[in-house]
Order: sequence, then C-alpha cells, then structure tokens
Amino acid sequence: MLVPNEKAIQTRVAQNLILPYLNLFGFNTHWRFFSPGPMPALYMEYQLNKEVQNEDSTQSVNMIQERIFPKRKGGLFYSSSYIRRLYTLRHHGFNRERIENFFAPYFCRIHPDSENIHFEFFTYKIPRIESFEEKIVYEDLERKTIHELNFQCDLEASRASDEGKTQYRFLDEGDFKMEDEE
Amino acid sequence: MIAAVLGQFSDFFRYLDRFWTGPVSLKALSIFRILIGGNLFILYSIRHFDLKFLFGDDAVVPYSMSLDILPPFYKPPFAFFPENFAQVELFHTFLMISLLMLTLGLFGRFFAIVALFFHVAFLQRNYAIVYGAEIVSCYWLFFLALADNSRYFSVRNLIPRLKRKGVGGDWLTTMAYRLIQIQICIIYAYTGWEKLRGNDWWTGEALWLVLGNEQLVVANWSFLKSFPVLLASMTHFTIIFEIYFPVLVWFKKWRFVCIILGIGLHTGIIFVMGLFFFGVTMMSVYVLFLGDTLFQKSQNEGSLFASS
Repeated sequence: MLVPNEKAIQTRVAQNLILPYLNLFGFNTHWRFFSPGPMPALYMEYQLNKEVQNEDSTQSVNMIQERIFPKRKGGLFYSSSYIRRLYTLRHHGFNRERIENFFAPYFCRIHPDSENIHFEFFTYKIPRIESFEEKIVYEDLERKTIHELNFQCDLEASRASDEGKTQYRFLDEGDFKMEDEE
Repeated sequence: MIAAVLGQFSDFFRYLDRFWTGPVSLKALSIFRILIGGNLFILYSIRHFDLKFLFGDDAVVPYSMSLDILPPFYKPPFAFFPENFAQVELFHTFLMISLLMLTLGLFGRFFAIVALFFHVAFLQRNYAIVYGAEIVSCYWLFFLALADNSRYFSVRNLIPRLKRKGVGGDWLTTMAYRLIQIQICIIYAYTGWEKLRGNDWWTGEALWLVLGNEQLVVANWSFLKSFPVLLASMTHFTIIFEIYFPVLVWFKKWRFVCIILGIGLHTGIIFVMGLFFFGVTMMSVYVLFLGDTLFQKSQNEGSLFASS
C-alpha cells in the first residue's frame, strides 16, 4: 500500500525500514499503467558518421548512414524483440542523462567504426479526435523533437570502467566538451 | 449494551480469523499456479532468443552499471544478477526450468522460490526492458512460494507413490491466497486513482491516444474516430472499473460482474495492443475470486488463532 505513493509522509517515514526488503524482491513499484495519461510515442532516428577509404585508398570520405530504432514492427501480432527494444528506447529516450550514460555509448559500441552519431528523439502529436477527418498517416503528423544531439564516440572510454564512470557530454553545436569524471 | 458491542468485536475478529486462516480453494490456487507458471515460461522462452541484446556483454546497460539506471528509491540493498553472458544463459535456463516445474506442479513452493530468485536477478540486471507482466509476476511468485500451490492439477498426482494424501491447506496458504487477492485490488485501485489525475482520462480521449499510437497497437485503429462517444465511454468505463473493482469484487452479488468486466477489459487490451502476457498475468487472479463458487474449499489443518 505504501510504496506506490512514494511521496506520502508514511512512506517517507517507513522507507528506511521497509525499502531494502521491498527492493530486494522487486516489490517496489508504482502502479501507473497509462496513468496519469498515455505517454506519447517516441521515435529515434540516428545517423552514423564514419570515414571510409575510397577504392583507391587515397582519400577518406565521410559517409552518413541513416537508421531508425527500433525497426518498424512487422505484421506479427506480437513481437517480443520489438517490444523490448521499444521499452528500452522509452526508458532512456525521455531522459537526457540516461541517453548520455547508456544509450549513446551503446550505439557507439555496436557501430565501432563510427566517429560520431547524430541522434534525434521525436514524437508525433496525435490530433484530437473531433478535429480529425481521415485515417492517421503518421508521416503527415506534426513531428516534435524532444532531444537532438551529436555524440562523439570514443572506443576506449565508451566501455564502462570498473574503476569509475566516464561521463560524456554532448557536442551540441560546439557548446560542450568531452569530460572524464572519476 | 457493552455486551452487544463486545459481541460485535468478537464476531469481527472471528471473521478476520476465518478470512486470513480459514479454508480456501486449493484447486483454484493450483489453476492460478498453472496460469502464472505457464505464462512466464512461454514469455521467457521467447525472451531466450534475445538474451544478447537484453543482458549480454554489450547490452545497452553494461553489467557494471546495471543498478545505476535505478533511482535511489528503487535500488536493492545488494544485487545477485548474472555478471557475464555465460551466467546469463545459465540463470535464464534455470529460470525456465523452475517455471516449467512450477507449472507442472512438482514441489511447487520450492520452485516458486527458485523462479522468484532468478526472475528478480534479471529485473536487477536490466530494469529498462521490464514491463507490467514481469513486475506483477514478482508478487505472484512470492505468494506462490508461501502457498500449498501444487495439491491439485499436478504431475505428481499421476504417480501413485508420489501422490500427496489428505486435502491439504494451512494458514500460510490462506494468507498467501488472500494477499494475492488484496494485491490485485491494490494494483487496480492505484492505477485507477492515478488516472484521475490525467486530463485525457477525464475528457475521454485517453483511449484514442493509445489507439493512435502505432507503436503500441497491432493495427491501425484510427477508423474508430468515427465513434467518439463509444471511445469516450470505453475510456470512462476503464477508470470506473479500476476504481470500483477493489471494493465490489468482495461482494458475492457483484463479483461475477466485476470479473466479466475485467475479462472484457484485458481481452480488449490483448486484442488491440497484443499484450497477451500482461493480460493473462492479471486475469489469472480472477480464478481465486471464483474459487469459493466453483470449487470445494480445503479443510485447513489448523488456524493461526483458533481451531477450525
């Protein structure tokens, strides 16, 4: 009864006593299924920027590959693979710190030849039901960007270290620098 | 007058004793065990093919940072998740075996504890990919570990030498049974009250926002915009159901109605959103509310406070 209401006085008073046990068994959770309101859809597109040698090996060329995550779901009624990736995106994508510490380094790891990756997290504004005439075509809806950033991949530092964590800052229009914090 | 009041208190405590320690339907509990165990076994069998992305050495959340994605309020005092991919595969295999044993009714309490251990281990490993069915299942596995859940519909009963004698049941089983029932009421109550804070639920558009989210639904349901009153009514029905279920389900007159409406709600969610495993996890509890009606109760071997 207490822990779903984490801001309650009773919970704050009792939490030191009960929380360790509840967290140990995975009981500490709030029950908010589509509450207080349904979350908007979250999409992510990213561009891999990598330098590749041309055929003559005389010149390097900057190559950009555009991708989306997760890949659009197919015709299956249920796809565990898609749903897990979607939840991963939703867990991280609304929170800049999580993008910085987990999500972006992950994409650097799976694309080791990328120098930097440009991310865009966005959502579509679903129109109100009364103001809507036709079937929804998602590409025609108003797109709202939540986060947009360039992330500089550094292979050595992108693996989490046991001695400490490396904090990345986004190279966002030149305003941020790379920092290592122990 | 004092005697009358004392008599009322006495009746109340007798009722409480009967509620928490009296006989319950072990057949209903066994059906619940099969539904939960089987549901999780299938869910994790599917997940077994995706272990590398979810829990591998190069997963989104590295091993060393597994607990870092949890806010301090949610961090466990210590962790026991697998720390390399070989352990991940081993833990996951043991998890599936224990769920299978639980489903089959072999040493139900023991395998419920084992399944809970490995289940929580994977929650700790990567909380980002956890969803409703897995969170709720923590509770169900814990309570199954307390209860005599394999007295009926068990493979063990097919072998005469291993068949358990007696009708079974004890006060701990009854407590676990009641806690499962109360827990589902708490889940519905909290999620319903939270919805009251959302403007979209008051205006009746929340369901439309879900149906319009192509990531969550299995088909394009936007043609339903032609039926706005229906959509709004279904939105409000969802809140009313979640708020009133925790109370009305305890009254025999309303119990069946509540359960039918709940089945309708979760079946709709399964049909529209494809959340089959979550739907089964929630609906499986309904069998416990019908246990008294459908099945004979156990004869408990002893009550906590008084003889049965």
